[in-house]
Amino acid sequence: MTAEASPTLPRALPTAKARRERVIERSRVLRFISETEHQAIGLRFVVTALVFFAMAGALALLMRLQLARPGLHVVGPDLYNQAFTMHGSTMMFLFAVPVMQGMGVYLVPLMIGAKSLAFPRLSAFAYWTYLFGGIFLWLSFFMNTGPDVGWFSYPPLAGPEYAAGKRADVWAQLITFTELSALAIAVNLIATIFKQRSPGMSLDRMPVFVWASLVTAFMVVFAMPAVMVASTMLALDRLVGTHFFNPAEGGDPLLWQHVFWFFGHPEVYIIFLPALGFVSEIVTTFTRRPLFGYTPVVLANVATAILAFGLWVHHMFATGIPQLGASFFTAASIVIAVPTGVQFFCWIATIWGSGPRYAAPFLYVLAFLATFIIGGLTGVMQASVPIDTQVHDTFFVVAHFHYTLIGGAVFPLLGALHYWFPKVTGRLSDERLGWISCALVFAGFHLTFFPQHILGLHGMTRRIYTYAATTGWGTLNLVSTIGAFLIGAGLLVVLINLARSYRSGMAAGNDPWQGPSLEWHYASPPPRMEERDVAIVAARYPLWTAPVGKVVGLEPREELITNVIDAEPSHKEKNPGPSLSPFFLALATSGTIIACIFTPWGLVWGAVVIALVLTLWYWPRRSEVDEHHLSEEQP
Amino acid sequence: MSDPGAISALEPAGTQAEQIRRLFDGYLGVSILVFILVMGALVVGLRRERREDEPPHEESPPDVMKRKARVVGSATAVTVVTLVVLLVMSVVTGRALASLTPRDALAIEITGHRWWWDVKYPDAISSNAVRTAYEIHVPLGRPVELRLVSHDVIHSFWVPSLGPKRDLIPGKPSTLVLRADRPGTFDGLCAEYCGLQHANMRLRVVVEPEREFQAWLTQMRAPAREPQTEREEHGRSVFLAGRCVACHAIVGTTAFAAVGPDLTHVGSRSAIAMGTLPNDVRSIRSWIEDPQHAKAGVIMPEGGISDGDLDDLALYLSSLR
Amino acid sequence: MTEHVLPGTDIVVSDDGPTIDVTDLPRHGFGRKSALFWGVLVFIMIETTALAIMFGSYLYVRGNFNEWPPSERLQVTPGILTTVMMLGSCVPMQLSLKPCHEMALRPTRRLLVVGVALGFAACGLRAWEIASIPFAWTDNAYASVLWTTYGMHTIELGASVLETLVMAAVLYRGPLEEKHFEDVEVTALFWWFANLVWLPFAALFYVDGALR
Repeated sequence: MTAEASPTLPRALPTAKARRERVIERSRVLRFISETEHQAIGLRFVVTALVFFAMAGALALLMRLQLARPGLHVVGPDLYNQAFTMHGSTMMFLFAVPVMQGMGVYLVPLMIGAKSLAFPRLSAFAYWTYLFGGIFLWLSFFMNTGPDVGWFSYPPLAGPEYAAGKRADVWAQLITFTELSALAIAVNLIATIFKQRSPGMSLDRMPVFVWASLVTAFMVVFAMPAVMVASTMLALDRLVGTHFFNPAEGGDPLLWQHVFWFFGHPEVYIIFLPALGFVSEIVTTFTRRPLFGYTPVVLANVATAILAFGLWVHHMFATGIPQLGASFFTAASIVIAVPTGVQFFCWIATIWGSGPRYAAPFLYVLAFLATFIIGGLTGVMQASVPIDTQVHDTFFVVAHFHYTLIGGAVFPLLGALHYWFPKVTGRLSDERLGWISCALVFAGFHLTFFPQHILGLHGMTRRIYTYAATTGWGTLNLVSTIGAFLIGAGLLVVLINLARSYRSGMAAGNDPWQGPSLEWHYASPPPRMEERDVAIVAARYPLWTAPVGKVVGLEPREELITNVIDAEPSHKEKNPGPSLSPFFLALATSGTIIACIFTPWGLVWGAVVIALVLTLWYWPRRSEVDEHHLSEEQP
Repeated sequence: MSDPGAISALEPAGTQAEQIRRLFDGYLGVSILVFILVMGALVVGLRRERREDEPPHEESPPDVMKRKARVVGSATAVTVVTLVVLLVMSVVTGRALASLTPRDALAIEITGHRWWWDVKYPDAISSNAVRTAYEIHVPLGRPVELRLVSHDVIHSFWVPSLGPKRDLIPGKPSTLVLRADRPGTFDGLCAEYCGLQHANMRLRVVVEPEREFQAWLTQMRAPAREPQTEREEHGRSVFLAGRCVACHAIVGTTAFAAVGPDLTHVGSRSAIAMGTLPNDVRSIRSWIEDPQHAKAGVIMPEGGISDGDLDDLALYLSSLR
Repeated sequence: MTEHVLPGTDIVVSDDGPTIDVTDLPRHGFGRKSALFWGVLVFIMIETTALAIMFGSYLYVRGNFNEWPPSERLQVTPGILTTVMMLGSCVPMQLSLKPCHEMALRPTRRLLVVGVALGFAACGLRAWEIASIPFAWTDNAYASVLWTTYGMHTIELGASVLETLVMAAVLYRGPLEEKHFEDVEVTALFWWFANLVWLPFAALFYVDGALR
């Protein structure tokens, strides 16, 4: 195992490890489950999330069909209640957060010029856990054990006395799967962004999307544990007889609401902030201008993330809480509009007089601007306690959160998919289909959700499977249903566009949009870690300013670690390469979680298996240890 | 089915609903203005052409940058001021709503069940207390103090035309004061998802002048109307002999269970099954025969009563005005 | 090929563009320099948040009772002994950091073994502490919060002891790389967390609950 003379050829791997890797290489299945490269994991997250998006969307169409006219019997109450629970839970836990994290996993290393994530095997584990959780939820649904308690599962309805069977337990454990996955990715992104940026990329030179991912990851760290604790409390109440939410023994249904919404409000900003990051990137590229107000925009992201933790009680304004306390949360819920407003103003200032290029990504950004602002304004309305006590739990709220989630997250996501499609696939998508899909989705969206504001004000409450003809709600509901199908059509066009272009679109090259950031420096699709160089940057918009340098002296599987603030080179770390351990750990974890639905002993036996798998994962093998990495002393 | 009641927050008939409507109008006006200004700026910005002294990939010249900074700064300041104004408006309205004192208020106790409203008008003299379901009568212009609690899961009391909603939480009683300022019939619903038949947990509020209200109260205080015909008499004996008495009370008979809605004056209500079915003999009959048909999942079991007996039972209940 | 170094940096600019040669950089980093350190730090933030929620839930539930605690009072002795043993076990772990940073194998792993032994003793005492809780989690909401917190923390404690055991075993069996000393450092970091985070709960359960 002598070192080769040339610094660019890969060092010969110790033979036993090389042998094992060649075995893995030859089997497609083993290669698939041992993958740890960030592009592959990121792509898997995004594609899986989009599949769940389609499934939840199908449930939405089913619900809209049921509500299109009064007194229909398309589905009965039981299936309808499962449908809205599955729709909400899938959208929030299996689509919105994973897709944003997946985009981060794919893009962040490229944008900071790193070769990989800080903990590649952990990211693979996160993906498998997420996938198994999603499959578990939907299999339960198809077996008629789908949760029917709403996506935020309030006890006592979800508690042991009123939720029969295992449906609510399925929901509680879905949380465990998805939050484990989200936390693992958050840890990864923070460590990667802090420690693996290219030399020269000081914090104030990071792309805004990277800032957004960093801030979002911290929100995940402080919010997700709350829902983990809440779902554990619910599972314990149901499984072993604790009394967290039982008022007869000093427990409290409102304890659930506090703990859940402490997570639940930051959750929507966890979904929203990365989308704002997309918008900043797209606006920069398509106006061919540096973003106006980089520092205020970054600070606005940070401020939004911090404020997001101070709003949660606004979900509880109808529970009879004291007025003084409620006013604090009104103030906080109103103030959070300011940093978002700042970002809006900076984007418009960037766009002003730039003569932008109206390609699909930019169109979706315009759709976002016109739509999200309405959601933000109805949000300010609901921040007011008196107004909220009328519109809470009505279709007004449903309209509001779809305006903010679809307008504020899905539109930027669609723009981002079209924007980075050439980078991921090496091909351009069809511009005309891009325009058509954007128009359809935009028109369909407003047709679906604008009438729902009016329906809510006219008394239509949420989560009802039917309504009387005498309410007069029939016409607007019909309009809303038509709009929903229009959205479906638009999304279908997106799918057709991207699928066809993937197969036969025009070749894109490295940088079809003339973007400023490092991901456009690499080939399309980006090369694997062994063939990628760590970059050196000297400016905030490296591709627009100066030639991008490269780091030499790294082995193909070595990653460069740099300092947190100024990104000076610090030391090197070895990337472990492909590994089967994450997949098996995810299997062990999934088995444990599912067993916990049926018996608390599942945790005990599962812990034993997990400990074994982790130990095997960690234990160093002689074949993997590179000769000159050995420490001076040996046992 | 009798005519539907008004059910809109935009058509207030009560003090709170009126104040909230005015606040909402203020917010709406501001929102429309903000939308026009911001979107207007965007549209104008899109139409402006790039200056010649600005090559691509570089930021605007310093004079433009300074001007933009000033505009963005001013816009942010205006945003802050506007939001503060909105906040103050909200707090002021909140105070006004809370100032509606329950002095000489009529007390009504409402207990939420899956999927019906148990309504009690308490009285110092226990024989004057009234227990009913679905249809609540309140006097015009007098504050009504609703004491709300749930028997099982979380529900929410909401009559949009009259005022705000309030959750009914087990173990946590809550008080909501409303005042109706216009006579009429107003519909409400449960506004917190509470299970299978959440959609069909409706209620009706009838607002009438004090005199008519007192008349209604007197009628409600009376024990159940005695059967006037042989068939009604037979219907009552069917009621008392069957499972109905396990859950339902009729004051003036031996039935006093409080598990289900009180039926003493069920014939006087504008609808049955919490507003799902009209109040006529045929609907009562089919409801008792198979409640699951109208409200799948409802806790009331099938009647298990023969056809002839069912006819008479329905006749009897319908007579309980 | 003409080359020059940019003043004040390590960047060499040549006809191929700017480059930095990192061949001579070390293959490990301690403390804030290490990516693993940051990863474990963030993990500690996550666990702390979860436990903080339990702390808050205890205080929230307390508001629902007139008499506190609503169950039989905890026995103080097992609690004190366990907490003291936990803190004591941190000493050898902290001492192991100096030889660890010098990459001196034998003193490092000896101290780790001492730490693991004390950790097992702490776990044994914790088992006694839990067995002495005079009520079940099904009694009332206070009992539920207390038992669940004990459960969560005991898992942290047990995990840190087992993790350190594996770490020590690796140091004895090998094969070793420089990065294993980074791993020892984060093992000690997590050990500190698992033991220190209990202090506010000990105060809450024993001072507020048992001694008032």
